[in-house]
Amino acid sequence: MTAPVALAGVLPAGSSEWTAPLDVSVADGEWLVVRTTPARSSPLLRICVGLQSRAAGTVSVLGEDPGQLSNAALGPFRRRLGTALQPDGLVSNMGVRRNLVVSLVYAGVCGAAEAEARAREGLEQFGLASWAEARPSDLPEDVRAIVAVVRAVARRPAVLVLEDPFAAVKSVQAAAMLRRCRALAPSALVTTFRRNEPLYDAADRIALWDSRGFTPAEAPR
Amino acid sequence: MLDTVAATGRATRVLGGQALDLTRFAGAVLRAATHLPATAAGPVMRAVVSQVRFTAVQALPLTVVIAAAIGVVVIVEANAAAVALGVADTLARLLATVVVREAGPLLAAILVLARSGTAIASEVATARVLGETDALEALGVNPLHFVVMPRLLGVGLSVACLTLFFNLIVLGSAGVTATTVLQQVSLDRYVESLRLVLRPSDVWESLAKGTASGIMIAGCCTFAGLQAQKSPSEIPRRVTDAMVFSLLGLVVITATAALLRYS
Repeated sequence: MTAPVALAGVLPAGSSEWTAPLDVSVADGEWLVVRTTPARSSPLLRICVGLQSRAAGTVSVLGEDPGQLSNAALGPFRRRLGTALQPDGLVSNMGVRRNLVVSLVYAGVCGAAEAEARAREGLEQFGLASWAEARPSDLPEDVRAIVAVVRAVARRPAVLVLEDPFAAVKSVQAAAMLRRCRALAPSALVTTFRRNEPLYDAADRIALWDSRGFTPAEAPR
Repeated sequence: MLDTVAATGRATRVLGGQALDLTRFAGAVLRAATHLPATAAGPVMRAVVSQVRFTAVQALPLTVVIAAAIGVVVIVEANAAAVALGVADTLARLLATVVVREAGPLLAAILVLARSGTAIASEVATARVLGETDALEALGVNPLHFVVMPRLLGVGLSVACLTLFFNLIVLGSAGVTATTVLQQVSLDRYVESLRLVLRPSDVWESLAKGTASGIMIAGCCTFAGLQAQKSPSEIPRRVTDAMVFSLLGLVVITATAALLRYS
């Protein structure tokens, strides 16, 4: 079976800390956590979702090369991914519930009624019901981080693409959230900027990516 | 001398490049309109209504004040000139030509540009700087659907409505001034002469210009806002760009309409 995410010999376009070609893949049903720097994480995840172009290599995400897709084809492709990048990009002039609904209906994932139901369900599952009408600027940092991830998983994605999620969330709470995320998304490519025990616990495979290269870091417990 | 020529050339090249980008943007919006997900149609229409409330309804008090003042000024100045020239009975024709065909659509558009255009450009530029549009794009939301289309439709509709309203207030305040303060003409005569001079095509042309101006303003403001990159210092620069593009666009629309009418 084709790996949901497979990058071979990839280099980003433009100057970057990332100077050696990268090979990385995420198997079906696997959660891969990569500990790296923001300067490597950002282009890696943006290349995977087709927001940034690459200078070399091949990319396959859910069987598509995001760099080769037309603007019209990118929408349906991204619909199958659940993405939460840094900064979280929550829309500042609408509340948490509407942030979730908008990301579903404008992407064509589902209609307004189902989006409302999914938003309500997601907010309850992740303990955010009391924040439903709050604007992002009124949210504490940890709640913002959770909302961004809930927005990504609410679409029941085939692959989750998360950049340093739950960094601001307490370990116990983050572990519970990650268990829920795993139940909603079978495969994931997750980056983290520092040692993150809850993420390591949730991972099937952990890698360290720095100037020495991309290496398995430590076995998950 | 050569420096001036070089600077003029550079400025022309930059302006030409921006005009080309704006044309590409218009093409992308048209293409995007054909790919709007069915689930997004309802939310887009709700966003249009919200945009009309912000751009047209909330601007009504300001429009009344400005239109009434302009009506008074135009009729007083026009009356003085008309009496001096012995053509006092042409006041209605003058109002129909100056206000309904030309000044109404232009001034309503400038009012919307000053009030809503700046807000749209700064809001979109801020969303870009905060990574909101990138995050939505990564989730499969096309910013042209979410950011641009509701504003194009909402501002186009708003400027058309405000143009009509603006014209009515100007004609009304000018009529009141002419008949009660200046006492140059009776109310019946004023209304009758307006009826004779104004044709339905004037109203349609005025509405068409208003709609085109509104769409152009929203297009220029969202285009400029979406050009912002990652630095907050870009926001005022993009707002300035939006104002300049929109004013140039208004001049082009007004001149084109006049040329079409008299050619």
